[in-house]
Amino acid sequence: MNIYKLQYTDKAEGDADLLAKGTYEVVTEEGITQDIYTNGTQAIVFLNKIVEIPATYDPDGKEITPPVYYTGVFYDLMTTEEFDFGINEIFPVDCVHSFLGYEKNAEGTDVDPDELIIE
Amino acid sequence: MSLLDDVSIVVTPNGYKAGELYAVVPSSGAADMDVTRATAATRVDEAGLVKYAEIIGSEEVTNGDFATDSDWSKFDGTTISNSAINFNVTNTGTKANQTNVMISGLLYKVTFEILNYVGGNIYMSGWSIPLADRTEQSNGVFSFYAEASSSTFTIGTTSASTQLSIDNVSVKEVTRDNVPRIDYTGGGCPYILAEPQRTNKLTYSEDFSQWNKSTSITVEINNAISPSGDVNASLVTTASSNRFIYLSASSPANSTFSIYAKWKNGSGGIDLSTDGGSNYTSVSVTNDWLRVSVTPSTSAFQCVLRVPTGGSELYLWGAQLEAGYATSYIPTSGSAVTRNQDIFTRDGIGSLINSEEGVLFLESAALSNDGTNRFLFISDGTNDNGVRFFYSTTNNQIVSRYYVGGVATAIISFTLSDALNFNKIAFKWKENDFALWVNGVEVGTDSNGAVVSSDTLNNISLTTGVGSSPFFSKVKQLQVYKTALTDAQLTSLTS
Repeated sequence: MNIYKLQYTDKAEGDADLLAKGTYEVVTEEGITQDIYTNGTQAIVFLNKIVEIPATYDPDGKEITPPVYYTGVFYDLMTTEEFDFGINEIFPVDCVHSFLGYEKNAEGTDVDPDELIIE
Repeated sequence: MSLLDDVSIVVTPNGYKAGELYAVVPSSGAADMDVTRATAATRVDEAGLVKYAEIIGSEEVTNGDFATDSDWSKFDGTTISNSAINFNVTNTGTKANQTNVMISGLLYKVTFEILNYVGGNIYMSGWSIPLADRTEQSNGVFSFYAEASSSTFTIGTTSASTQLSIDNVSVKEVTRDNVPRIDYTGGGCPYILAEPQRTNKLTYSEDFSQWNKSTSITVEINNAISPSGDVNASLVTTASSNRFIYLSASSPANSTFSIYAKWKNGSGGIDLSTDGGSNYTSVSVTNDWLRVSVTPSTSAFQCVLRVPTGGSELYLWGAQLEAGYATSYIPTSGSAVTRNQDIFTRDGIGSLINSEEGVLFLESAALSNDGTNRFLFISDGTNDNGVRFFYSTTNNQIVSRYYVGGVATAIISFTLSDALNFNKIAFKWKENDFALWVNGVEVGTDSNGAVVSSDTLNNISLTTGVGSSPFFSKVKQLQVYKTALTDAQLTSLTS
């Protein structure tokens, strides 16, 4: 299984690149238009913006300082195929998202499932 | 003659392996359903516990019961006797190991029993995540899951005063990807669970010490047995009224915030919010574990749980924020986690399908009236020919159609009293003789329509003919008949 971490300027750019690479198609069935995974895509997860510096709150939960975000928007792609995303592929060391059964920072090709659960 | 004499395919909650759900009929395995879901997933097991759907492999350890003094390499005074391996040491570093047990990178379940515990700690190595200083410090049976980093399984001691014995060591490979889910929620007969892809946006679903807290509230993790059967439920104690815990996570409008809750000391409801506490919804909590949830129509950015009454003690476990209706629990521990969708298909079964006449029988329940079409196809691998059954975009509506060359030759729709309940549904096709039966009653007919030529249909899938819009649902039975059954037979089948 291959897991890619992707960064784009905005959602329009990201959706267009993933569509152009054939990771999904836009299909209309029974009058309903949906994005359908193709070519080995198992999941595309749109992460939107990612917080670099969290907001701070007072004891009652009111925001003191707003969060600071990394530039752009982010996607996680799980697929059986290999793609070249060029400058859009990133290699973070502390990921904010993972796929169930795969370690938090899993990325790259031929990723194996990982889990540690103490019963 | 029994109806079962006519049936060519029967799929029920049955035996399975990774990537395959065995059909009851035919027994040859020809109609076993291919299962695709490239991530792990949880379900409610036969004991009522929320567990991963998983396949446990065969035993990888030789002589794990230490019946003989063999197969293990012993170091620094470790002994095997009395059907156990014994550590009674005055120096650290004693150990025993066995080679060629694991394959690096694979997930395993390790089980062992501690006997004659006097003191000290053990470690186990060979795993990608360090498992030094195991916390087990008493007699008992213990287990954990871990990914192997080595082929050698090692048990050792970490303190100079360790005195204990270990017996019944077991190491078995665990497979979770593509394992079909047989779900026992609510007890009684189980069902096959097919769910959409979902992401739990809450990055700490079980460790509530990672959540932010108001004043006058405390959180103690690993305090009680959770719905998973493990001691990993948190205890929340309030010193005054309207105390709360919260965690930020964004999700679109109509997302569901769910959490398992149970009073230790308290009564009445608790309040849930997804908008930082601007709007709360009260949900009832009892002295038994309940999964409570809210689905506000506004977008979510911060999940808050508020306890109205001071002096209360509340158990919590398994928080989840997901886009849409609540689905099965997705554990998280530091990052958002995605469970992929479940897909069930089977092709190459033309000999089990009569293209010209037959019956599709289904006992199923929709997961939600979510405004989408969710399809089950008997087709030729396209959307152009065959049977098309689906829960439609209209609440509680089911639609059955028959297609020839991309044109619907029969269309029968019906509105169920509640699509979220299990309904027995049969769709009969035959040239100029189509009918839809629900719960023992013929609810619609179409007496004017063609069918495809023989040997056209060869595929059954819980998706469209091209793999889109999956049939997200709970399925107790799926049957295909090669003859157009009589009204009496359809009455009997769907009653």
